[in-house]
Amino acid sequence: MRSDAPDLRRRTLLLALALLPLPVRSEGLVVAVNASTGISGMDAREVRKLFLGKSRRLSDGSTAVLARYSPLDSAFNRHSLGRSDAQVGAAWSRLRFSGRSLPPEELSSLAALIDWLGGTPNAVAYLPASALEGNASVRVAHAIGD
Amino acid sequence: MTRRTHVRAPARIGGRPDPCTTSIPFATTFPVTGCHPSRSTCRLPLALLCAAAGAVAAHERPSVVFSGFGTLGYAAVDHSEAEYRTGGARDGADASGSFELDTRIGVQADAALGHALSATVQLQARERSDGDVGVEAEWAFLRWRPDDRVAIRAGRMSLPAFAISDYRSVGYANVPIRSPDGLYSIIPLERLDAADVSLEAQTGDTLWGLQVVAGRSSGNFDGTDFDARDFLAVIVDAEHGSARLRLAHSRTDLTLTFEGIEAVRQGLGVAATFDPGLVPARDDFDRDRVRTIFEAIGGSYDPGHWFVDGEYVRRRIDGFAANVDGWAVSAGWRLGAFTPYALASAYRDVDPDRRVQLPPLEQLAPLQGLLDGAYTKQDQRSFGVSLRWDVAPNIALKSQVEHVASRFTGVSLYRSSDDTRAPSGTDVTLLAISMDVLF
Repeated sequence: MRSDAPDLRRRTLLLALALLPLPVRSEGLVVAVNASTGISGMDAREVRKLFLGKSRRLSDGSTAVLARYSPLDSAFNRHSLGRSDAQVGAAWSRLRFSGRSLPPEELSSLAALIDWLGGTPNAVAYLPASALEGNASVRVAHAIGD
Repeated sequence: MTRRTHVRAPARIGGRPDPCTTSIPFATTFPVTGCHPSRSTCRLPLALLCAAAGAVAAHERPSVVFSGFGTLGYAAVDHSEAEYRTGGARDGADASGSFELDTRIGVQADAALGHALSATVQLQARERSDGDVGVEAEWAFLRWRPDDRVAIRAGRMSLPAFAISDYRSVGYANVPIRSPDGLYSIIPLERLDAADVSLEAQTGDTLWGLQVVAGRSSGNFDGTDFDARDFLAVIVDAEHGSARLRLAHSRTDLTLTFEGIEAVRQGLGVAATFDPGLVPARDDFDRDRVRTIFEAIGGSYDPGHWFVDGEYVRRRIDGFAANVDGWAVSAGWRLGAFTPYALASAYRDVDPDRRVQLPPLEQLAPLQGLLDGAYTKQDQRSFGVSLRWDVAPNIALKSQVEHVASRFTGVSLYRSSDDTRAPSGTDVTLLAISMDVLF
């Protein structure tokens, strides 16, 4: 029976690991805005407010327009919102199905997201900082992990 | 103008004829229960959709987004003669198990119309109070949002008396399988034909919300017709960090009628002239449009890895219906994809015993029966544990065990053999499993 103990410990450890959220890298993820937006930057609270659907008002009084590229969701949700994908999905389903507001529009590629950010007034989205190099129509408003 | 070229609705779905130009009403293709095709409320969602499509066509590309939610749920009680029902539905869960208690599906269309206007229509199919699965429009409204802090809506919307009234049907949006029935049965009406104004404000780090809604509603539950006129609700919501507080005050003029109410009125009218002790009972039944007040105070704290919430509600009403207090509390922990959860609730009739004794004459026995039924005290207590497992994106599996007890008549407890209430003191353990999806 004694020989079972390490096996049990290993199983317990595996179970504990399975219960833990997967570590996802947030390295270099930023919240960017359309360059015509009148805001200079955003703090973590404003980012949470926007992407959990609590308010769409930007600090200059304009209304944010949100979009997302889903492969970036997990890292952003975990590090910036402090929520799992399921929690964020549930929060938006409450807003959507009670007729309050729709979740950020989902775009099909990172390139489409960058195009959309550059061409949409008051656009706000999260994406890797490296994808924005040399793009004058998009501005970084918040670096995640700040 | 917002560029929304990514989401585009087909002008026709699957090559079917355009429903706006075809004169066939929705009611002929879907079984719309509790809603006669000649009533204007039936045509409301279709009319709104057509208005939306027309307005879109007039000045920009259509931007319609379709989405939906569903729950496949199975539940059973451990009591061979009892059945657990919810929301006035004619069928629920008995000892042999049933999919009828929690299973439902909803589809929604959101149309942006330009000029800060939008339209939303949501249809839901689930077990209804007539014993059939019926499709009804839970939401069907036009909204004008001149500013991101102001929204004005008109049409069909939820009756927002309690904290999760707006989304209690959406399984994925909630941690437990079912919201506490004791609490939500205090006002069985769930929808309003109404107009409302919502305002948002921010002071420091606190977000404030104010909603004022006015409208009317009606429905039949357990053989009683509810007609709520001049419904008015004021809701204040404050959110600060992880904490949230919600206060709601609703009032309406409620007319309750059931088969035999005229006989009760006539019988009591005569009997009260002989026995002054029956005057209060006569007065209780002899009135329509009774002023009814619902009050709710709720709060939650959700820092992310755990959460707790609670709500206290009460109903104050004149006439034969009871004054009621109710509360519910719950707490949960989020362990990766798993959320274990505990919940407790209670519903209590706070009136004194109002039962009356008529002279023991054979011809008064039916009247005595109706009076006893109307003055029956209702109550319910529940305690349960639940586990939610977010197994894949937009899919949650849940299991829930709940003990539901009553001292008098349980609000959710019926005899499984017929439509009457389970006897006093019945208590059951309710087991349920479900799968919730978003699409």
